[in-house]
Amino acid sequence: MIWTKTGRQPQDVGAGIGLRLPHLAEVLDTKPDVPFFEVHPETFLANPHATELLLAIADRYPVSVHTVGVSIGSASGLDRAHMARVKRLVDLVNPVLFSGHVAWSTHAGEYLNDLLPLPYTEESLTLLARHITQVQDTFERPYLLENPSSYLGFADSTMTEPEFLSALVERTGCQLLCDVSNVYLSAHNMGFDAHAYIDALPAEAVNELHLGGFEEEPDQSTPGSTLLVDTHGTSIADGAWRLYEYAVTRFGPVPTLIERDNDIPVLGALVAESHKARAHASRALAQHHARVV
Amino acid sequence: MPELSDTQRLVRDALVGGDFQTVRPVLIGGGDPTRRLAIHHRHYHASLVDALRTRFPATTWLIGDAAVTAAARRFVATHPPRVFCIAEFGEDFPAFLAAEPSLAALPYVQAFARLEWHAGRVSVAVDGPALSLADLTAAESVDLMSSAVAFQPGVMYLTADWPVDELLRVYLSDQTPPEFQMEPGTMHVEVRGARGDLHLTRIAAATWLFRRCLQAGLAIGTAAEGALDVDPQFDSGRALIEVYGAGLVTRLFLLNPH
Repeated sequence: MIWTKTGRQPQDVGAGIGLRLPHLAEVLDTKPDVPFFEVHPETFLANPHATELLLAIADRYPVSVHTVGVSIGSASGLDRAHMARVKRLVDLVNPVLFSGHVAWSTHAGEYLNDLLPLPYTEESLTLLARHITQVQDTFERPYLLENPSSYLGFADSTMTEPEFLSALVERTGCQLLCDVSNVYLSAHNMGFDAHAYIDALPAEAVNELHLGGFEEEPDQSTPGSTLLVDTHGTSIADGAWRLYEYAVTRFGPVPTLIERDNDIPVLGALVAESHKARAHASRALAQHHARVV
Repeated sequence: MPELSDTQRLVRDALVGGDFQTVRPVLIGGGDPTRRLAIHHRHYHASLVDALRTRFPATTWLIGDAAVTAAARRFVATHPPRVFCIAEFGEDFPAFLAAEPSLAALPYVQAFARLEWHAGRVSVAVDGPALSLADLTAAESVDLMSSAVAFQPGVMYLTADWPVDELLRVYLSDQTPPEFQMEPGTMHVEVRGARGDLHLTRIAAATWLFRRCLQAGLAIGTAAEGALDVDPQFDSGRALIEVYGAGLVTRLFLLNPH
């Protein structure tokens, strides 16, 4: 089955917030001005109380479900038991968006708790296309694929990342989640042009943007150079904001998500970043419109 | 060109076991891409060690952060998660701690960590509507001895050879007593939680077995027989009333004789 459109959309295509456990009760109490929340389902599967709070939030806000454990790039296959657990939650939440990563996390039954890189080869393409189709058929909704944050590549890759993502869209009808911070970070680490990367993505397939924090550290593989490491533990860097404005003009006003997974600040700080993203997007779109007119 | 499964096995071995040289030929990135793969290696170990420290705060209080962190580092290098929810990772950690030579002087560590594991699990449960004593009375026409009950999800029955329930209470009270004696002896504990609350109740051995059997779905009559084996004075009628009175039962149903 080919999925081509999402169902419900967030009522406001501003910037949502990654909803983490410390903020569940506060969101219900304070009802912050946020267009949608995004959750990692794996956080809730073993926590019925948190799930209860999440469902109350889902009654008030659009919710996006962003999987971190589906591991569509795993050569040892998808874990059907895990997918069934996630599906039960997804069916309860009825998310506006449903997404995951171009990555692998499992090997022979082990879960490695990371989003690991893939070689961009025909073998990988065939495998991911099969798995994406299985996911979309199982969940009966389109799957948005997020571009990875990269520190390294593989000698046997035969295509670029945008070529790989475009081929997946073409073969499966999936959509794309462009993590702008990941593009910025990967461009720095792997030495490609971030704007050219965004230009090369199939714009009509991009239905969500992500922004998260990263940190700079010395590149141990190349003395004198630096690496950007995807920590989701800081606020968003100026360079990522600038690239976000460019992405918005390329992809239009699609939903944006502010991610924070470490050193989680008070909810108000995330709401402020959400409003900041909305301001950046509005300014970029206005300037773009003025140039076009 | 290696197959994808081979590449992923090599990356896995680098992440978990630290074998970076075998995977090096397939990687690119910087002067030495294995130094960049080390970022994933670092994340694997740091995130899982942190997950264990988060999952076992009372055990960390008991034996110290350095001891838990050192044991957790060895644990994640030899016991990669086989669950996809990191909150479910670490069920085997109490047994691993018990085998740590540096903790040999603390024979109750495993029991304490095991109690903490289950306490954390039940404390996030969500209670369902409980049947009342009036419901039990109304069921007088039912063959109770051949019936079974469903328990609330946030209940666990544990035994321990040390008073680890008392020790956990001390941790939860946030008040350190001037001294705490750990005298060995068999403890029967009901661990009950819901929506962030947690209660530890020490109960008699026969009561413990009766409730444990009921929770396991055995017939009330079978549970009563087991309890009577432990204590010939056990009053199963009163015990059943107490189970209902405590709000533990969510459903009463006749077991299929087949």
